[in-house]
Amino acid sequence: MANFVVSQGRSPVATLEKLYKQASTAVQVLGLVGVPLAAFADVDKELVNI
Amino acid sequence: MQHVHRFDTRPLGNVFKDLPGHGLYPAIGLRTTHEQVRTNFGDAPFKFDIETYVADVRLKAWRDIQLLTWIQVREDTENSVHDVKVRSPPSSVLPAADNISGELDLVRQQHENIGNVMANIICNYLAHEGYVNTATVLQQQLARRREKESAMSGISTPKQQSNSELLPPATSTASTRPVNGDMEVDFDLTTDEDEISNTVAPRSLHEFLTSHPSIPSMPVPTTPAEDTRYRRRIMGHILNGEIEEALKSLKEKYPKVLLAEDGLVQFRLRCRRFAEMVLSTAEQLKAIRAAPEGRYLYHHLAREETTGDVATEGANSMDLDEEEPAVLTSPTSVRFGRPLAPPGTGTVNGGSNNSSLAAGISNFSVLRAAAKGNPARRPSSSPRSPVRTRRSSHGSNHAHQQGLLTSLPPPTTSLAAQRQSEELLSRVWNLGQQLQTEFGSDPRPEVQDLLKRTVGIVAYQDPANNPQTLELVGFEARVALAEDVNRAILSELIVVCMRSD
Repeated sequence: MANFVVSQGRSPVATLEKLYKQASTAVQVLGLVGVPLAAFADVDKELVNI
Repeated sequence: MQHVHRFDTRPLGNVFKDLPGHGLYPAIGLRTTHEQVRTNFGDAPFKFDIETYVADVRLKAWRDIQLLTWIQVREDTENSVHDVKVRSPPSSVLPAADNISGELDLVRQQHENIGNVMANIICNYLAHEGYVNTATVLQQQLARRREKESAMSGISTPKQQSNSELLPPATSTASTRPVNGDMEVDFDLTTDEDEISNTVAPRSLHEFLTSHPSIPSMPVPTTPAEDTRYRRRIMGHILNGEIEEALKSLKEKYPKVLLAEDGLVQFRLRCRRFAEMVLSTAEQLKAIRAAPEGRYLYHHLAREETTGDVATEGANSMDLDEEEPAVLTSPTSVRFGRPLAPPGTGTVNGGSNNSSLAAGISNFSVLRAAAKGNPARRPSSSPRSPVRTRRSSHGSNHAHQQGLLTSLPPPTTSLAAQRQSEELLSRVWNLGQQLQTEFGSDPRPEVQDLLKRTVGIVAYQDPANNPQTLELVGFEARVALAEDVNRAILSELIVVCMRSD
């Protein structure tokens, strides 16, 4: 599917998926560098496994 | 890391500064030897309600996140691009610390802004994944909600209208038809039937396409129900292994799909057709061998080795010319790079390396000639087998291998069985040669890889039950191919639709 979509000049990854991945990674990195608020922003728990 | 220090539930404030984020251990210092300390590491309820404390902190954190982030979204509906930026809001829009209503207004405004964008992003996601029906229903629901909101406020918002342009908008006449089972568009997934039953039927892409005759598109089935039936039929053909029929239907109804990605979809289908033919041939050959007459002669011939042989020397350089009773002797044997299992086992010894196997059998003319008992010379460009072979004094072929091509019954089998087997194998060879001729020079590595692996199936006597080939010929592979073809059809429709917008 991804190759097919790319061949049509579109991104192989949907915007929603990109957004989710970026948000998850950003919060995780913030937690690792010691930002306390990041501990309370569990993207997976807030958005997927509600 | 945040540390909370309390004494008798009273906060002590910031006791330590710059504590490391890890490597901390509890320690207690006592002045005299008779002092006692009771600790609680969570086994018993805490005197201080830490859970409520955490919930409070969490709420505050979320309030800050919602209030102190400013989301800017740039939408490019033509190319379905959403540029989302998150930053601190300008101080001019921030309410005063004690202005609760201003704070709520700001949060509400943020939510509305994000909500519209997210609705569009979700529609884009559904369309991207090929769930056209669901995307259309969602858009209709959003449109109705916006209409309701506009009617309540008496203001029409142009921005909101533009958000519903990802997929073709609904028309009142076409969308009043109730949804029945045939209207399901998303393949192999149950749609939200409750949701759909409460609403009107989505306007199909086909109706949209037929209403835009200027759009260069594939032949459009006359009604959505027909389209669904066509696609289900095609999927059914693929799942049943009837690839020829699937190809025929695709060519008739969705020819552009076959050409997608420079014919990759068609290539995959044709590889699958070859795999299906090999599977069916293997089954039929098995049946022929299982027949009483064929079985007797088959094993009789194997024992006597009357037709000559070629000795094979393994990696240990032992000459197995005279010494391996389990090895099949047949004039139809083919020499590959690795020894195959004796008859009946259906497995390949050391055949895990697909590339070497595929390289060893990539030349069909070699295979065919060898299978007919005429040992064709391997082309000099072909990789040499790690197993050295030499001709015996008998002058005929013998190999310590057993693949589909070596499954041809010996000449002493009944003439009818021989003829039938040759006919079956001939069909496989022809199809394999066709694939080689058409795609052998394709520069795409993924095409070459699939071609080699597909053609390599013939090296296995029982590919349907062999772990080496199961990934390629198993039912799961059929399902994956059917899903990809379905998505390709839906995507093709969506692409035409989106371009027209």
